[in-house]
Amino acid sequence: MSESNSLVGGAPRASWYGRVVELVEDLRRHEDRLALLLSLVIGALVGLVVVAFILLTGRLAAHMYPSGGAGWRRVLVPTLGSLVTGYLLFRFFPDARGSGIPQTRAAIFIHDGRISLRTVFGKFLCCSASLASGIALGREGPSVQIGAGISSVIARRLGLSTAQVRWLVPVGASAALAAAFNTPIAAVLFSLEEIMGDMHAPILGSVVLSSTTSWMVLHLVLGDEPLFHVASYHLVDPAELLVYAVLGIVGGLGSVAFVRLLLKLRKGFGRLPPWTVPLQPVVGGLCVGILGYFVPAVLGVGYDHVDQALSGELVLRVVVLLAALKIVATAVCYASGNAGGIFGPTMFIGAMIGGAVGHVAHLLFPASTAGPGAYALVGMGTAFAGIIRTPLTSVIMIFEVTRNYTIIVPLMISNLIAFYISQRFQHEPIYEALARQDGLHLPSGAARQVARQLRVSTALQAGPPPLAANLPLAEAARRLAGTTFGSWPVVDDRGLAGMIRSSDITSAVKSGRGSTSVRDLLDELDPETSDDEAVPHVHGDQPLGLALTRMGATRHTVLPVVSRANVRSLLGVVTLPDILRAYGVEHVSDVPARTMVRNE
Amino acid sequence: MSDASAAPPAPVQSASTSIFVATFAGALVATALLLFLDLFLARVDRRESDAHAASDYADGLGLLAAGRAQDAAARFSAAVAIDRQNANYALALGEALLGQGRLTEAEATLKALLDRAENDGAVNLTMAHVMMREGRAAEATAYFHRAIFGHWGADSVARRRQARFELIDLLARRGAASELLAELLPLEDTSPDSIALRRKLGHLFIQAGSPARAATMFREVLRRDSHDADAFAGMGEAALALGNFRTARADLAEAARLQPDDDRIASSLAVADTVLALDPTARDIGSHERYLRSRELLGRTIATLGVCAPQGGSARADSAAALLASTPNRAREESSGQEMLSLAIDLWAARAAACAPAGDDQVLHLVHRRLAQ
Repeated sequence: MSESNSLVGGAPRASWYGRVVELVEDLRRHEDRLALLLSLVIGALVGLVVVAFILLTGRLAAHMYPSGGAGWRRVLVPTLGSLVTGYLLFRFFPDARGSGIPQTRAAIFIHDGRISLRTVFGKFLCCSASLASGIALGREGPSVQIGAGISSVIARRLGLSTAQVRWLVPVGASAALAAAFNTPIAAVLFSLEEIMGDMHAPILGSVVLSSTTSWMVLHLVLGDEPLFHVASYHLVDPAELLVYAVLGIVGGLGSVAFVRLLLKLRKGFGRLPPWTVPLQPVVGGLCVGILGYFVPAVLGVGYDHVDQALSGELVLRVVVLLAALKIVATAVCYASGNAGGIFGPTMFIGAMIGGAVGHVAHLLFPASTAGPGAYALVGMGTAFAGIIRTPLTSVIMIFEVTRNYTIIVPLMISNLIAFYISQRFQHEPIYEALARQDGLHLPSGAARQVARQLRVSTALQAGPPPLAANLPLAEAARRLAGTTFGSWPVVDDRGLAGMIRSSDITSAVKSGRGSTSVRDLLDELDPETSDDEAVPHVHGDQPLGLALTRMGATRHTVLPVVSRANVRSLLGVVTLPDILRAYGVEHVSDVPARTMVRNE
Repeated sequence: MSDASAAPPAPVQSASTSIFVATFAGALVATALLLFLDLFLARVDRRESDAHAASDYADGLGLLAAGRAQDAAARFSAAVAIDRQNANYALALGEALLGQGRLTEAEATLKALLDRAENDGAVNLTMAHVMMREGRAAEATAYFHRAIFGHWGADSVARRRQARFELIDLLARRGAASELLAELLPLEDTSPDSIALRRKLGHLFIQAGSPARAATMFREVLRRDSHDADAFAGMGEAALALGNFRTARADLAEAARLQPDDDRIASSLAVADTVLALDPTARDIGSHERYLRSRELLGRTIATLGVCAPQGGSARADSAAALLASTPNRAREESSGQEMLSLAIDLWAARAAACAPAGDDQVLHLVHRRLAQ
């Protein structure tokens, strides 16, 4: 009976399984389809995890700090919280310490996109506890690492290649940020601008898809509630732009002060004996507890108070006090090794600085300036541009938060000024500086930008006189004698006919074919040279890296540089030594020789 | 197809594919479970948050009632932080801050609320209170108006009237008679049939410079209670303002009879007696008495003018002084009295332009008003 059943049910089961296998194999063969599907799955999963993270942290915090709770609770809870999480971070989850952004970048650029499930779990657990206990750090950076980690774990479990795993990490990061900040476009930009450092990264489609999916999940669960409630502000008077410029200066200087303080404190903590590491977070907890005893608004992420500042509800002395205390509290909490990010505090500090500038401006020029809330709003973007150093993301993020175009122009002015001041006085961006303190040398966006800016034209030279196609090989060999060029351009009456290696000519002459024409040998070696596209070449405006790739593919150490209008029109050549020199590699006089030997 | 299903996949491919499928399936299952978890958490979060905010709000109201405005403000602030969309919480916070004298913060809180609901009557009324405390009377008046014409929930008629009376009190304190009258007029017909309210309106109409309407109000009161001393006093004051000095004296005397210990009534009666004794236009006096009263009136007018504007109208003052110094014979008393009366009227008019209305000599004021009629 049972045998009969298995026989009856076996065929359909095999059929079903076979179809699945076929489908899966087809999916794995088509990377684009797989990326599409994974982006959706990762977007949904990460979005849900981040929503759970937000809700759990919020609920936990509400229970830690009931209304009307005694003042001592504000000292005790963060101190105990940091003690417990400090031990957990030290003992079980060392990679879950800090923000999560530098760790995510390190995963991409150093660890082949690898973030362990333990780190994801540890980050979730420690950050929930830490933030709920009132540590003055944010939830967005940790969310990014959690999202990137989930992405990494899934990609590795699916058996994807290292390159694919690396590409999926920012996809998860973007989904996390979209859910954490409720800003899907800014999340995409941040992933490209800060995480990848490349606005033209080929993963754009996947990042957009995951970000959108995550945002939809957020809205499905929590509704269309914006992160901040902002009135519709607008520019009251064109002269007000000057005040926004002043805000840019103040915000830029405030950003520099915050970053420097944080880095200096972190360096100080780093010098303490190793046995103090699990206890160091307590310093942050105690510090924020003492400050919180007197000024409760310093505790936690503080978005409620940002909301109040955005509504212009906080008076001048309060915003000034909160800006100063938050800078200190966040710097100490982060530097002492607590789990949490600086995104949220950055927004908080920016809103308070903006509110302060707005109050003063409104006091001096009440008729021609908006209320302090407008300045608090622009201040958030200003601090973001100054501290995180992602000016484009900061503009879009504030736009997404407010859904209001009219504040964009002052925002851009203020952001750019803050960005410039921050660059001027704090050369290294915060996440790179933090990674460097941890001994990680991540590629900076600026360095990669420079590398991208190196073009073929940078290494262009006139090169050797081209060989005529009808020239006998013996004559050609005579011309080659005493030169170091590994390959020569060959021209005919149409222009460039192809490239021929010196070693091929020498070999042909040695085998008694001195009377054969260069054209015949060229056709013999590469029968497709009659096709324009088959001629190995580069254009002057192409990246220098492409020339290297083409040299590897064609095994020519010299490549012709041709016109984009006519591939047969020879403009010059690039050689391997010239390319290396353009990249800053000196003393390469012997490189062509070695290359030629290998080619031969 | 059937062949493919019948033949098991290659072992390596099968293992790899199994993991692939299992991972995908695991991710989808995790997504589904997380969705349920998140929806559950979101519901709990909303429920607890709402309850938390409501509890904070209720605690705050209790604390406010107990006079602990600072603690109340902290509770209201916590409620607002949880539920920023709830206007009641924000309004309560604004009121608590106002109670503490934290006017700037109260103003900012209410302003944010008004940005969302600019026609909310209660918020505008509280904002008016803030403006009053800050001494910004003009802005307070504007907010009172918005409160009167704004949106109210339950019991809107009574609350609008309450707002209007607060504005009326403000205008009365400021001595803005015409604005006061403008606010009183709508109440003349719509006010409920309350003796106390009619009485109050009567006094306010006198203050607003509309004694006839005041008299109507007091008359209605007396129709219901013919022994209401305050109404008789009001009738008397209204009659004084209208220049009916004899009627005024009779009403005030009746008020004094009904309420002999009332100093205000006694004072008003004394004024009425003085006015009656000074009034040069009284019909039952002879020409000599009229001359003497005119002379007395001119002397008092010059004295009053000299106090508030020593340089004002000096040419006329000199003529008046010369006239007072002269002693006309009986035959010229009537013409001299007329001349004195004209000079007194001119000087009073000059005095009105040069001197503040406050602190007027009430008797002179009443007599000159009668002369101006």
